[in-house]
Amino acid sequence: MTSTPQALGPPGTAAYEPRPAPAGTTVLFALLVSTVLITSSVVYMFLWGIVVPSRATRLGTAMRTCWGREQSIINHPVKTLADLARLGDAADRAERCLRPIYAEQASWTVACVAALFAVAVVIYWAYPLWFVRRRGLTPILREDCPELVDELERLSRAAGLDRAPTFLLAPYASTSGGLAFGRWRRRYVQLDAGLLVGYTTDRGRFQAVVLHELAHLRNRDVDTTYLTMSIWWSFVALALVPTAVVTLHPQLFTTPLRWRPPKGALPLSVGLALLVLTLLLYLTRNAILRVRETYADARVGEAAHGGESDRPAVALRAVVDGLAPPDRWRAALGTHPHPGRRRQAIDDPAAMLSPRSWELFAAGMATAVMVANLRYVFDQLLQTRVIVSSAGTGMICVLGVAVPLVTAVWRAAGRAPAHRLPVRAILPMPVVLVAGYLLGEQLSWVSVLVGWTAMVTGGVEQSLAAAILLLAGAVTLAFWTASVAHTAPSPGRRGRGVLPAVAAAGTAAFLPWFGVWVSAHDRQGLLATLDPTIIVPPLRAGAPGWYAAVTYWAEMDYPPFLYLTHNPLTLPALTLLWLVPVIVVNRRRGSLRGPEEDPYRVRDALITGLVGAVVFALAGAVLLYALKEMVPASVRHDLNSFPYSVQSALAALAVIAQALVAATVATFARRHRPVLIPLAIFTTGSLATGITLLGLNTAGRCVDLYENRPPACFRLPEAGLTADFLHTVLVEGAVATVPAALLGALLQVLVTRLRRLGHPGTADPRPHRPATRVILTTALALLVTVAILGALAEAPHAYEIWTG
Amino acid sequence: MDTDIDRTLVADLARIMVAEVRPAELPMFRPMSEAYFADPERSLAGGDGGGGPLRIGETGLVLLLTPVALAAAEEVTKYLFGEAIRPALVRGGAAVRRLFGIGGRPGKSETAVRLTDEQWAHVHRIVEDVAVRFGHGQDVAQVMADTVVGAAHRATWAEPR
Repeated sequence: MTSTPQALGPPGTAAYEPRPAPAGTTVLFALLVSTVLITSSVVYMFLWGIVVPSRATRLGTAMRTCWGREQSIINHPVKTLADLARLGDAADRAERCLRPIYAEQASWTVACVAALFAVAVVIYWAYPLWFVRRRGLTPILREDCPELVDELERLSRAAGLDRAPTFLLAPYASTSGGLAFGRWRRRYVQLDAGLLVGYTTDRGRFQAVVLHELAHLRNRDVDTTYLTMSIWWSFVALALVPTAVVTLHPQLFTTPLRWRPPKGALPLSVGLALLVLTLLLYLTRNAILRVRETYADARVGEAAHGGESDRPAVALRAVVDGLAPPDRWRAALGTHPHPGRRRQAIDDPAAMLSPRSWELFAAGMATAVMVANLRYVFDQLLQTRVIVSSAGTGMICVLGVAVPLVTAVWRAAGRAPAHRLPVRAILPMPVVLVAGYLLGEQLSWVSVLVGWTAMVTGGVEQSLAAAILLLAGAVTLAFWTASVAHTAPSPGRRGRGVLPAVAAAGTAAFLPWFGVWVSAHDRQGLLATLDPTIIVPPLRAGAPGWYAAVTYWAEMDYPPFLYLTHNPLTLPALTLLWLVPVIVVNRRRGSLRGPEEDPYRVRDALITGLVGAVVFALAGAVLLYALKEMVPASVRHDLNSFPYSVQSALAALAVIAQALVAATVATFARRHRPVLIPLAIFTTGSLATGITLLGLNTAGRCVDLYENRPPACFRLPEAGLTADFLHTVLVEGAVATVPAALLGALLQVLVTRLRRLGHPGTADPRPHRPATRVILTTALALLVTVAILGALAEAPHAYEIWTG
Repeated sequence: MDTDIDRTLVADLARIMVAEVRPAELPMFRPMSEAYFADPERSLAGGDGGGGPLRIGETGLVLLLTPVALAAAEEVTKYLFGEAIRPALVRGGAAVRRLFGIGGRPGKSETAVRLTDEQWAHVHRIVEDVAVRFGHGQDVAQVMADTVVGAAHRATWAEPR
């Protein structure tokens, strides 16, 4: 991630300190590249049938044949899980049938995309040569003016550059500007002839412009900027223009000389999709360029704030004041920021850390475009199961939403590291991101062309459910990041690499959720499988009413949730939520620090989790006793259903225990709830699994709960079943945690207010009771081991479920 | 320009003006003069530094002296070779260079170049006209012209009689 420095030291020294605040443009650049890559793939798939018309005919025939064979299954109404499975199988068979012709299309697409990026690389490489040649740039030599060359070298060192760039004079330019450009390992700074006059007459202004351009080099802007431009132009030339041409003249490759106006709504849809895509890429490109400019200004400004002479900053401010003010739209959407914004960056470099809503909105839009298009590409090219391609798409594209969100929250937290970010500062970020995503989803090339998104076809309730669920995930991630950012080490000694680690952990934690969300949202919509005829278990005949109620709620199934539960990535994801923050703040000497220095109350979280497990054990024992005493033997001895019902009921109890633990931590923890709650519920869930499989099940067999006189009370549980139970408990527990934690937080607010009313002016400084480092480290290591072993043991079952 | 020797003469003559009137431009005189000889019109027209995504700088144009001094020197050289002196009597530009004090002593077989007062006045006018034509004020034009003529007179005074 690109970041900017903090202070400019004395002239002649490399004095920039690393600063933890990222510019965020690396993420945007990655989004731009990904959007171009994926969208151009779809565009070339579209062009494949148009450039050679016989291909389109063959594809049409193949589709009619392959899908025609499965028509009876497709037309059959879906009422049960078995119907859903049959429909999935039919789709898989049809896709396999189409594989040869799709492979042909894939080869063409890959070749075209490769050509597009090759041209982009050529443009990037040729840019500097073109600049030098067209502008008549010539090197500034020591023999012409040794003092000037010395000054430029001094400024380069002061800017923190290991190697001075090649300074070039623009002899035909009578303006007073500068420009950084170049390519890999070859950096140039162009200085206008008019500027060089200022070397003698206005040294401050000369230094300001040179330092600004050197700041671009120090910020590593040149590659990002010129690659962005190159990719843009290559995309315009090789994807956009050809598509626009064939949209306006669809018969170009059959009757090139006879143009007829395009008919139907398709050209309009294609035109709209092209327009939206072009705008998105263009605005993202300009956003990157604007941010780079203000960060270069901020670097010069920081020199003054870092104790260095403020002359360059004052002079740069004068230069910015002299810039022609662009109109409102140009300033908001063009390649250069508004002078006012630049002045703010110079005067108050910390202002650069303010959240940039447009960035999150653009990230959301770009990711949605990528998801829709990439899913189409996966479906066409890889021929995997629909659920796999959809979830895989989501798991890849999660980077596009998670990393910008984590980065934005991190930046916002960096403005005032001593204070917690208020809720009103955090909430808008996920909201804007999700809004961008939902809009982008409607405007992606594939959505417009094929019109298949659930948002369009599924109705308002589907859209609302999808939006709320996505927002819930994004809000959770944002609050978690804010909590971690608040305790992260300060920049410098230990701050390096923290943001990438936190971003990686946040992304990994969000990954299973987003993957399953995309998959369920894309297929039939998140509410489609909420049909009671599918999810409600059958009633047990002859059982008492309370038992029926327990099994009803405990055995309820929601298909999309199965993919989240039976997923080897989910447990590691949940583990990272507490593990990474704890490591980040304790990584001195590579082990946990003493609790007296620990900003997290790890000990308290572990104890709360342990208490939750004890409560679960007691409640489980009561449940077994009630089952034994109140459920008729005829029901209990039905080994096909009763053991499953008991396990489901115990899992549900464990989930309730975790929810209670979450609420307790949320009520009593004053800080870092997003980190402590996952740790506490993980402890409860893991212990509850052990208690169930080793304790309660053994006890149940001993008291003849399931059958008469079992061969042995104790049986070692199978690894697969253990992993299933562990996943069910922890994943459902994590979901139940969210409302429980919110309730707990509300309760804390109420309690705090009541206490203040009773004892005004008194705080609640609960003592932080230390525990030994060895105990904490051992406990956390055990939990990590549980997560790893659980994920490994779950993998075979997950594979079966995912591949059908 | 017709020959390399002429370019050197023009550049040397222009450097006298730049050194006197705008010494701030001396560090870039060599590359600027090369750019001028490559494309005089573009050099005199001035212009912005071209676009560029990472560019900063004010859009206002600075009136540079070097291209104008080179244009004036070129005009003066043309006048001297075309009208004021007989080229057959001088070898290359050496005699003219000495006229402005920018060359060594003349060889035995070489004729010294001398201009009449009217011719000097014409040289003065040429420099003034060029400077004003390309946007400089009358005061700057005057100083430039005085510098050229003054250089010649200083050279004449310095020559052994």
